[in-house]
Order: sequence, then structure tokens, then C-alpha cells
Amino acid sequence: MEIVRVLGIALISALLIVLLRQEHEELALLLGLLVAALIFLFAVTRLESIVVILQSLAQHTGVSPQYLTLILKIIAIAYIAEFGSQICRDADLEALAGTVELAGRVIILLLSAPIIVTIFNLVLKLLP
Amino acid sequence: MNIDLIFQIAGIGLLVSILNIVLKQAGKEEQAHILALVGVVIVLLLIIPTINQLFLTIRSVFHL
Repeated sequence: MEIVRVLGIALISALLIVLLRQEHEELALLLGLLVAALIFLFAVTRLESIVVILQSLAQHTGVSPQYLTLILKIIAIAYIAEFGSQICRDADLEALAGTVELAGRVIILLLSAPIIVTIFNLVLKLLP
Repeated sequence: MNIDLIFQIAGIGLLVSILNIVLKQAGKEEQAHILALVGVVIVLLLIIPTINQLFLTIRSVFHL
């Protein structure tokens, strides 16, 4: 199964990273970044079919496509921000990780602002 | 999932650490530090294509 392969790769590279960490902290960090990127790449390529299913569902239920593209964009931003902040945490840079997460949240908030406005208008219309 | 890249970088790391020890014993301290920098630069150059491919894949999957 694929998960066993991923686990094998992760364990081997974890051992190599710990081995490298004694002498060269920076090389260990770079290797960790590479392995995280490879496994993330593996996961994202598997996500393609999910996105296709989501789009077909959206067409059937009549959800306007612009909302779905916004949702997908927000999901992508969340993944990338999470990836970046975990790498910074790997390098023991908690403050940097926090700021990366904050930037991700702000960007997501900016993207979803128009939706919030439309929801409020809708709610106000419903009220007597 | 090209695994050989991981082993290449691990190999470079070990090589750099061994050469560092050799250089230290030969008394050339500054060469050892320069060698460490060269090792980091080489590893960075090897990593950047994978990171680039990762972001291109994310862009294509999420139709950004």
C-alpha cells in the first residue's frame, strides 16, 4: 500500500536527518524540507480526484462556481501556510512560524471578506 | 517520488562532515567553513526544482 511506502521514506529520512543534525544543523533542515516537500507532493497529487468530485457535485447542486474556486483557493493557502509554519517550527523558529500562520489567516480572511458581506446582506433581508 | 534525491543530499552531508574533519586536522580551519557553505549551496540547488514542482502541482490541482 502507498502509506507503507510513505512511512518507509519518512522513517529513513528521519534517521538521515538526525544523523546529519549533529554535524550540520542547516543540512538537516534542508533535508527535512526536501522530504516534507516530496511527501506533500505525493499527497497533493492524490487530491486531484477529490477536487474533480467536488466540482461535479457543485454543478449538480447548482452552487455557483466562483464560490467553489474560492473554497479551493482557501484550502490551498491553508495547506501552504501550514507547510511553511511547520518547516519554521522544525528549525526551532516559533515566532517565524507564528507570523507565517498569521499571514495565512489574514490572506484567507481577505479572500472571504466579500462572502461575509453577502451573507450579512442575505440575513438582513430575511429579517422582518 | 524520487527517493534518490534524499540519499544524494544525505551523501553530500556526510561527505562534507568527513572532509571538515580532515581539513580541521590538516589545520586549514577556514577551508572547512567554506566547504560547509559550499555544501549548503549545492544542497539548495538540488532542492529548488522539487519545491518549484510542488508549488506548480498545487497550482494545477487547485486551479489557482
